[in-house]
Amino acid sequence: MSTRAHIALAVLVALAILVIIRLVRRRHLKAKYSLLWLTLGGFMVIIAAVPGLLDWTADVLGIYYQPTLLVLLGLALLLLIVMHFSYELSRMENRVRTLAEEAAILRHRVAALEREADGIADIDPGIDPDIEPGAPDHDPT
Amino acid sequence: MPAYNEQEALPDTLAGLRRSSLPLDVVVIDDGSVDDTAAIATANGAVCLQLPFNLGIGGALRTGFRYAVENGYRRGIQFDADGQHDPTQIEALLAPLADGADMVVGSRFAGAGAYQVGRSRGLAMNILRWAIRRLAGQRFTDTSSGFRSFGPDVLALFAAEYPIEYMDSVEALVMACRAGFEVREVPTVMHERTAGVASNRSFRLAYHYIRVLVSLANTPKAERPTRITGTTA
Repeated sequence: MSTRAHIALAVLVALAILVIIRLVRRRHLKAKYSLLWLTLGGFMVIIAAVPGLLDWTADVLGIYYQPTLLVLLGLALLLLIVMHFSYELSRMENRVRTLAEEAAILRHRVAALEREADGIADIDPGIDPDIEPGAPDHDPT
Repeated sequence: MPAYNEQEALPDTLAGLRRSSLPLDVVVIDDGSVDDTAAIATANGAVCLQLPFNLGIGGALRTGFRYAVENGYRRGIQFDADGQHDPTQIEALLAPLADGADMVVGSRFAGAGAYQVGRSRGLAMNILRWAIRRLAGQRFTDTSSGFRSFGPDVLALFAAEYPIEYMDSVEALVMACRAGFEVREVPTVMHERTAGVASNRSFRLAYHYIRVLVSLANTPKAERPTRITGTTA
């Protein structure tokens, strides 16, 4: 890879890392995801910083056109990151579903309890100062 | 009873269940309907669990299983809101539970009644039937029937874990079999749908058949759950 390409790569990587750190500091990005991207960044830094490393590795692996290795590595890492996201997404969906189910059951229970509480208030208003007789019906239906 | 926008069919279905001589507690799970499903269910004397958004039938069913387990029910029936199931068949569906079965499937094709399906649907059902026979180690004539009864252990299993996507009924069947439960099939008569739209368009159906075959191939041998999350009533 030419020196100019190396400099360009180094600048890009530096920018990317700066953006990641900024996002984390503003808490727009969770630390665990930033680690993922920083690993990718760190990888690129090494490639950018050590001229000849990429060419040498490509030679060892028998790749004739060296930049292919860069693309290959980049794709492999991106694939891993996307897979990780799919995993996280599935987990989140599961949790959201469970929450929705719990919400439905609890909603019913709250409505039943409110009816019960209203009943008690109707019979004996003095039983609990917190329950006002004739309190508005909270039943959402 | 999972219900998604079933306000047309629901009154008749619930009235049919009320006429049943069995002491039934009817729970309608309103799967994020945009019509009056919830109000109609409540007005007709059913308990209504309202999901905040549409989870699909699997999610609605799991909500029902969870409700059953949390409230200490020992038997549960899955019943369609659209009126295609016959309340008079419930007794036949419950009978095997007392006889050692853990789960009972009401089959449209095992003799009683004359329920017709189209040719492509019939072919797809045959492929599924074959796959399920291999996986479940048992033969079923109607794998997608939504008319089922469950004993306490299966209720507990499904409250913790129930297939969430379309064709959940097929996956659930395999799940119960692979968990070592005794699943039986009884012939039942079913009606044509009275109202509402059946949730299958051919493209989606094809996609879901493929998806379900893939996920069936990946069904692990489930362990019987030892703990159910949530509070007991």
